[in-house]
Amino acid sequence: MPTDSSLQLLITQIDIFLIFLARPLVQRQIVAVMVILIAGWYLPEIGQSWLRKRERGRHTAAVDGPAWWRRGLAAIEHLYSPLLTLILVQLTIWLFIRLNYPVGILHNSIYLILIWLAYRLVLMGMYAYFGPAARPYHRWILLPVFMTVLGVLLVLNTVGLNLVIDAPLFTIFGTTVTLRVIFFALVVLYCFVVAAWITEILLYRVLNPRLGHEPGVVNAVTTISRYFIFLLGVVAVLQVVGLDPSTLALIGGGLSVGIGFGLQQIVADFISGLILLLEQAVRPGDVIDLNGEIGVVDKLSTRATTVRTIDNVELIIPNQTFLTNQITTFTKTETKVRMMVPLGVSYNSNPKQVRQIALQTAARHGLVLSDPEPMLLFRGFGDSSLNFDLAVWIDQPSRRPRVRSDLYYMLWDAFVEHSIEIPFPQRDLNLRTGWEHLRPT
Amino acid sequence: MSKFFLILLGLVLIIVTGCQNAPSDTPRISGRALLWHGWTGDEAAFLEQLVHNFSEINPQTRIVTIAVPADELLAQYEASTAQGIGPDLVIGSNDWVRQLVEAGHIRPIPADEITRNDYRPNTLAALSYQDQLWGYPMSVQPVALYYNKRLVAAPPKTLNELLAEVSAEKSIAFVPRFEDAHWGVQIFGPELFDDSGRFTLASSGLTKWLSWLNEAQGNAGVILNRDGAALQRLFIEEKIAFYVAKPTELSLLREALGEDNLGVAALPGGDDEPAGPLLPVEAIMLSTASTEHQAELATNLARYLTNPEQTRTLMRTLNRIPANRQVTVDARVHPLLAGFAQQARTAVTLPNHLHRQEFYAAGDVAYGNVLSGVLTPAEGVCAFGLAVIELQGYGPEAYDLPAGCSIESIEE
Repeated sequence: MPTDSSLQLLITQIDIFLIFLARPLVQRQIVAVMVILIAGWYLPEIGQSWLRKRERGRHTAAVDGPAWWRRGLAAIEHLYSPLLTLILVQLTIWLFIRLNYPVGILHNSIYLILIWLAYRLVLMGMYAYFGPAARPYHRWILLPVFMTVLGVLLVLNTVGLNLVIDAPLFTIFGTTVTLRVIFFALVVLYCFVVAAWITEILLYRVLNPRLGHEPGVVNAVTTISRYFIFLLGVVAVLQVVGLDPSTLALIGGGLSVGIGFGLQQIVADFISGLILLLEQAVRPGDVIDLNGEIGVVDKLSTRATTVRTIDNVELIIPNQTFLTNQITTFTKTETKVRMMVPLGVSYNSNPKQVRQIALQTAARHGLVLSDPEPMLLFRGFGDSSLNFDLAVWIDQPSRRPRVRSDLYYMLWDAFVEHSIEIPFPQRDLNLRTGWEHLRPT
Repeated sequence: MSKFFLILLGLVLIIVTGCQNAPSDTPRISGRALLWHGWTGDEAAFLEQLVHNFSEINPQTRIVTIAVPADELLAQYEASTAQGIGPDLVIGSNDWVRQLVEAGHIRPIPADEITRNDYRPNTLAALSYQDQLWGYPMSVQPVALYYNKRLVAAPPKTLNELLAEVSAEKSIAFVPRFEDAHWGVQIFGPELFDDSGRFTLASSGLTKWLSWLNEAQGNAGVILNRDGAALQRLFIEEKIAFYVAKPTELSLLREALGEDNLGVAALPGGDDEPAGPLLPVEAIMLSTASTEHQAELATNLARYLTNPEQTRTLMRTLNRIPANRQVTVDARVHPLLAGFAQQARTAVTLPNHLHRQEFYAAGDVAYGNVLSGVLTPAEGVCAFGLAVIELQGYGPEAYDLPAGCSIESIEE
């Protein structure tokens, strides 16, 4: 909650702006800057749109050269707006000076436009070199940096504003928090978040070629590094805010009480997530059986794990479930699993022929491994059938239901072809009374 | 296109807001004004209170005060006013007048009979330039003689008395820079400039004053040191009896020595002529960036802050030496302030056509060269005169150098 003094400062700032805006000297300059900005922003778009319409239907020669050159030519359009704005501002300054009007605001705006131009130049280079891959770096690094620089320059050049940013907003643990402190804290935190993001990408690029066959390890290292850097960022922010170690200890004490009561489950999940990452009990890509539901571990985050079932349904499972419950994993050390396909044939069948047909059928299935080879296990003599288990090995555990279904279809065809009867239970009914009503009339 | 309409809407809002000039039926004192100052701590808080009182008397006004670091105030004022976003009033020094007038950043004040009657003539002179007045005098800050009543019974009235009285145990200390140690020029002759602003160095008392200083520094009881803070410390520690300084140090010294042990008197003069320190004037200046309506409100506020009642309040609370001539400083009630007020009456002003800081710097060089023995007083004054002529671009009719003073004489 802002204090009365900060509210008062805000009102004061509004008063100051109203004082300035009442002055024709200021009005003229602001209107000029805004008209220039609108013109600088839209005129290139209008011009390009007009040119595109004009070129439509005409044959235009393709640009030769390497890809980066073609991308560079396309990226030049990033410069149209700032360049045009700069020219318009210079012309307006020239005009204002001739009219004996002050040009301070216009003059200051040149620095901001030059920064805009520099920003667009960097963008142009990035898009020319990297193409669309530069977009996340543009959005998450360059744009925030550009906006921050603009904001800082505006504040530094406005006397009233630099007082507002130092106005006390509230006090926390004896430390007075101002807008300046909040701003620096956010900048520091953002820097660490970006650093964590970049580190994650770099680690992935370094580790993936070496440990690509162990996606869980790569994921664990990148995730832990991300949280470690983020933790460093939090510590740095606390330093920026100016909380001393004793205060931090106090916060830690308070948090531990809070954790003990309200955040117990979340913290348990968080700790479980870290243990899972370190212990590698479950990794992304693992096939697990959770209460009879088979699925593939999709994503392992610090609070919960996402499992995608064979029905393509995502299950969000709290991490502590994996540590407190028994989980069946088909891929902990190796991905090969044995699968049993029960079947029965009539007593008239030759078991050796049945074995030969069943094994040949299994061998024809693309997902059934030849090593270990399939086996037909004679399970026993049933009430009306000879019972077997066809044991086959596959290395894609998540596809067991599909393989089982395929094998049944194939066995059916093979048994029909070789006239092997698949018996089914038969019952003789002896009706003591009422049978006469069943006679046809 | 939504962006376009948003921008257009913003534009319209600004124009509409900006164009809300006062309608004809608006009360005379209304509107908003912005005041900048370099005051800090309790002084700033007290100024806020005065401004608040003004707004209570004139409820349709809203005055915003902003404290800017004193050493940045002039530069920030110039930069902001050039953009049209400066304050309507600024509390500054008379040293700024030439610079701000020539940049077109302050507006002239009608030097009507009321104004002439309200303020001390030398404060008006300090704020005059090109036959116009450029600020409302608020207070004056001439150096005067602080003395420790536990070490000396009464202050010396003349330089001869001073030399007779001081000793290693009862020293006098002051900063030998032009601004702080100009006070003896008047004792030995006319000022550096005559009433028409002509640079009359030849007839001025500067050479004799520098000679006196040069000799006096050989006395164990005269301490000349450019480290003002060190001198102040010596005085607080009661290692010196006399200390030449501005009223801005009064609160600190009174707190350190106690009201009963501290005295302030006019600086020692000659047998006939009183000491004439420079007269720094703190004044309220009005910006050229303001609209007429804002300027009218600013004028009312400036008159209010410099009226006898507020001047008296500022004197009582903040030890400001009044520039308003209707406020008398009663020596029985305010003995310390009375010393400064007495000194202010004989203080002198320099014409505002001078490039002040460069002029002071040239003076400092002269003082330094003479007191360090590099130049004789006559040579030091001659070099100073030549530097000022070059700095100001004076024609032969605008100055009067001592006989034999020329560039060649200095080079020899």
